[in-house]
Amino acid sequence: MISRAAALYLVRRLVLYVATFFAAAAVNFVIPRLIPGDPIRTLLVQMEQQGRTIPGGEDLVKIYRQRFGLDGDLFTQFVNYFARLLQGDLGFSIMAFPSTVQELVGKAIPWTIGLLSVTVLLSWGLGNLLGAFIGWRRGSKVDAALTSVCLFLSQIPYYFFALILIFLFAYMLPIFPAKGAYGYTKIMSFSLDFAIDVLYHSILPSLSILVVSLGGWMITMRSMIVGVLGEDYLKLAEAKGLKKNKILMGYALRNALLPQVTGLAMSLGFIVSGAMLTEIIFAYPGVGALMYDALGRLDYPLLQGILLIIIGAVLSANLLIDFLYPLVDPRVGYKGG
Amino acid sequence: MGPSKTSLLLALRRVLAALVEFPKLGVGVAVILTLIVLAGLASVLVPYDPTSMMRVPPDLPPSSQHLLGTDTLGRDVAAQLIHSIRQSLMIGAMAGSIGTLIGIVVGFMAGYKGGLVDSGLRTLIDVFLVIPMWPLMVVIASYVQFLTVPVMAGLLAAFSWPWPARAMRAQVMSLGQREFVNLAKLTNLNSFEIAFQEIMPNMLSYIGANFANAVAGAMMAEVGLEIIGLGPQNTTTLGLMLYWAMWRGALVRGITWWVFPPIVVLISVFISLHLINMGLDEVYNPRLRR
Repeated sequence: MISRAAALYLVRRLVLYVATFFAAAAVNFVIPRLIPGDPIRTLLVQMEQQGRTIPGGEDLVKIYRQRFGLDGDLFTQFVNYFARLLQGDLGFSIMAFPSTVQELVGKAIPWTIGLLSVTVLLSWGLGNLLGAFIGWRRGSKVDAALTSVCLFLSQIPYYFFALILIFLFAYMLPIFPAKGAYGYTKIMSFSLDFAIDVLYHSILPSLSILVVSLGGWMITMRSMIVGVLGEDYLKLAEAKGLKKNKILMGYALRNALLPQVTGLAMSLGFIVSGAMLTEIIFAYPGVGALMYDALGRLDYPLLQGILLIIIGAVLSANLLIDFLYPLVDPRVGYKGG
Repeated sequence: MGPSKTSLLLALRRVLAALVEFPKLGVGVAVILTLIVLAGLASVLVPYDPTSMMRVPPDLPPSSQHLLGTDTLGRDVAAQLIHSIRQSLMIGAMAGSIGTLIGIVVGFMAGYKGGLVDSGLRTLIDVFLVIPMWPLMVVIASYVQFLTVPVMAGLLAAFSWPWPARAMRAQVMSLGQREFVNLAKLTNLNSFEIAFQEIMPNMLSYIGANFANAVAGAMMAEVGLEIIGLGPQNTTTLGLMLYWAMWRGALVRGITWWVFPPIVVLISVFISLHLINMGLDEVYNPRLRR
């Protein structure tokens, strides 16, 4: 059972997250209103000048007048905005009208989550194993070499690595595709052929994130292992005559892993926004690329809808950590905040 | 009492000694100083607008005439690079300074005042730390009609203060318990004086480490924004060079000399700042020294 203090702590965190979400939503409400003029009208005029017409453009203006409440006073606008938001209604996209923001994000999100969750988990697992390995052999040559390589890699922005990989393996040595989530000739289906194609296309983008993020996990795991090395329970295990590998895996690693679990949950929360530039560079059809499209075509409702979804995802991940952590680590008694 | 010439010289000698004693710090500072000097000479070395197009034939590989070749738009890459280093460093330094300054003030207030002030400020810091900054910056930058270098720096600074604030708060809280602070309290100094005259001088290297970190963070975000076209429109920066190079498919056409110079400069900036950060940490925290 959780104690009163624990419940109080969780409630406080929950309030903080809900308040943060609404603050973010309020910022989302205010920003477009700081721009002089009527953004919808300006956009339509621009499009017409370029010879592009949108079916039902005038209706769109009316809908958006209502949607953004450009016809009511600020307070009514504010109330309407939140009322719609609470119903999960993020409005229409401009560039893909009459698709709604929810529909577009719904199509993009599986690609992003698919690519990044696998990549993040792989990087986490490999990074922790490597970190434990070199922490156990601290001071050795392997340790020194891997630590400095990772220190170097962790300072390289992940999108630079993406560019370098494209140059090496799609241009110099064309063995991997440089663009897309599946081949142009393929049709989306649940077949083995298609799955292999998707996997093949995901190797370079995944690798670009993996290589850069691995080092971070490795270095924190290394210092965690070094930190527990002097603990009594390890001495006991050694005195019992347990094998070195068993002590590392069963004793040191298990305890050092706890903070890493928090880190993992954090980065899973960032998955939705995660690697926008990777998606852009590889033309991968995920949320990041969708946000980029929205940016290029000034689709503000879509842009803001995506932002809110990303913020929601990150906050949920944080809440999840707060709830899960005491289950993983019995020492945490929710003391203070 | 202003510092006399001799005490300035002494201070300079101590700084030099520290640079030799802490090699990470020394190397990092050397690289950054070199880039700053190069950037300072930008208008001497390249006394024309490096972004004006078709001054030179396009797509020339590096040669003695064009050290880093020319790009597809007929511009000398080396000339652009020098001016870009200047603008990028300027944005990073401005954003980092403002961010660190806000961080110091907020962190000191929270850590020293405690109580309600602390819980209020801590909640604010928590909120900023938990919100994903990057997509938020993308949306805000997309609304700014004309991005300039100062606007860009301001935007980055607005998001780079929470980490230094959190770090400062923790340090001030631990230093605030020490004897010399209690002594200062007895001598009737007000809390502002104690914070800035007694506690702050003990934290200078720590503040420096946080500053290096903030500059690196701001520059990473800067490059990210510029690569997707959300950079200052009236000048050239390292990120904008990459934007143009990507936009014109430089990599897939093999125009490597357009893409790699800005990448190499940026990576060396990031690594140097990280070295400075680690070096100053060693100065501050003797336990980290080997």
